[in-house]
Amino acid sequence: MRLFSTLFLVFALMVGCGAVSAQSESFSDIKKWANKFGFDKVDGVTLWEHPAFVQAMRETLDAAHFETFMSEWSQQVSTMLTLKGDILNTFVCKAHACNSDNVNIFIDLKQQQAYACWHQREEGEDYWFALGKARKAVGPTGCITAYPYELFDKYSKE
Amino acid sequence: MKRGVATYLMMVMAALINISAVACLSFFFFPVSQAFATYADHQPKRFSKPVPALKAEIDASIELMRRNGIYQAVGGDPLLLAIAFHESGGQLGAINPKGVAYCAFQIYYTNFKAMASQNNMSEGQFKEQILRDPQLCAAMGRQVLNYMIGRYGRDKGICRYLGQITELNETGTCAGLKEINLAMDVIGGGGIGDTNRDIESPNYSRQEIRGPNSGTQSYLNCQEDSFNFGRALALATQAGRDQKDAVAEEQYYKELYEETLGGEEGLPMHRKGFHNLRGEVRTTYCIGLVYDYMRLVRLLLPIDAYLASAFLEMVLETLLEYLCEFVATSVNNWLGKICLPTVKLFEALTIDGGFETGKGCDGASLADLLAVSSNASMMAVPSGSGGKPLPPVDSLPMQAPDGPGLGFRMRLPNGQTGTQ
Repeated sequence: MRLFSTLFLVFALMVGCGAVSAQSESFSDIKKWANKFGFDKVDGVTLWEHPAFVQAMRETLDAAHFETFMSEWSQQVSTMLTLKGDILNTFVCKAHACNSDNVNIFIDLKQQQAYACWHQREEGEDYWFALGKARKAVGPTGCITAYPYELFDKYSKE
Repeated sequence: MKRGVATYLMMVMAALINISAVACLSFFFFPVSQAFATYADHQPKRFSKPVPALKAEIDASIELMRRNGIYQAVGGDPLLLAIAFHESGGQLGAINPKGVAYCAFQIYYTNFKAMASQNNMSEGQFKEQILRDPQLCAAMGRQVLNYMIGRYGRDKGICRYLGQITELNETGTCAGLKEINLAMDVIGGGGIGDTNRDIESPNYSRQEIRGPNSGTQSYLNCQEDSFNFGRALALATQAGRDQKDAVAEEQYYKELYEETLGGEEGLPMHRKGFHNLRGEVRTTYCIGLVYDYMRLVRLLLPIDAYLASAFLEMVLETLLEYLCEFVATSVNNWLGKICLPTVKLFEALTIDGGFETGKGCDGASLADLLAVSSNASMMAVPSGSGGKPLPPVDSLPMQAPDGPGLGFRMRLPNGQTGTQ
């Protein structure tokens, strides 16, 4: 009985560690999209389809913005993902309205979480989204920039 | 002093609102006249959305295009810069995989084969190069645009480039054209002009946009969204009423309270719609400060007194004027006449006085409040003006707080004024 218990404990620990490791590994896959586009396939899937990315975006954005991002903008115009330190960035926008409807996505590979700076002129307010926090209104032009990593530096530490 | 006082009041209000977390939204349940829905049914007279945001978009995009070489590649041509701004935000490496459009000018794939041949490249090389080479991207963008303009004329050619063909066929023009023209004027150093200060002008207090491409147009800053605001507010009101009918009142307020504090996660679907509507009203339109103010007043008033009083209805009616007159002078007339009740924050959380219309204010008015909120974009009517529209000002007259009563001079119910 004691042997059985010990074996069960070891088994449980292995399963648990395996799960954590798999999740972590899954998120670290995202790094493979550095210098690629989100719609490029890596190991048979696009970034927009990758479970860890989808999950991160779902947890970061609210339902309405998640829907807009996943079903509309991500299927339209985007730029190549760039990597600076541990942070991946891509600019995604609505076709023929890139200037007024866009989002800068940031993926922190180390912290395994996503951020988004969302600009939609029609809304009259830009929003910074971060995991576990209510979206933050950053003013009507708060996400407009020629230097996207400055957005991350500015808002992720607030 | 007024500005200082109002700003100070705002800070205190914000703090109070934050810590109070009242179930603020019974605002929406207050009876709204039937006419409101009629007003809300008006179709919005739309212009390109808030120009300050457009200006910031253009500035950032031009900065980006200077860095990635597009600006130099087009020789600073405002039309080409405006097209790239619209199509990609100026991002050299932008791709639309669905439409298969590449680079800052979103060159359509059907052109690739001929363009590749023209540049002595394979199609694959061309697709790679056009994302990296601003000269190639700009040259191809110019070529496509010139073709469109040569074939269809300037305006229709631009609309076609922007992919707004259905709208073009139906109306003979397209919304994107207006934005391109405006962007060209802003890029060219003109564009957004001063506020019209001619009190006789129908465009009094409206900010004007002038330029060789966009002509002279005017807009009312956030007021331009008034009709949309009216519609959204009417919808939210209706949604609130529906919700109130649907659940027990106590439970309803409890849910509202939770929604006020929390996000949408976990809310049943039928609640999310209302939450969205409320959020839309609260955040989209330039009326948030009035809401905050009303929330504070609601916090301080006993619920029975609140329900028995008519002040909120007055505010709503003023908002109707705000929505429907669509002229800033009228807005100022109305808002300037509504005196703010004084809040004795340091004695007891009570409200003295009340909203009073018709005589103008000796103290702060809603017009003052809004002017502070919108950085005077809505213009302030100096107190005591009796509602007479005065030229817009860029800032409010300053007035230092007199003491712990916040220094507000208020119009007392008997028509006299007093100082807190």
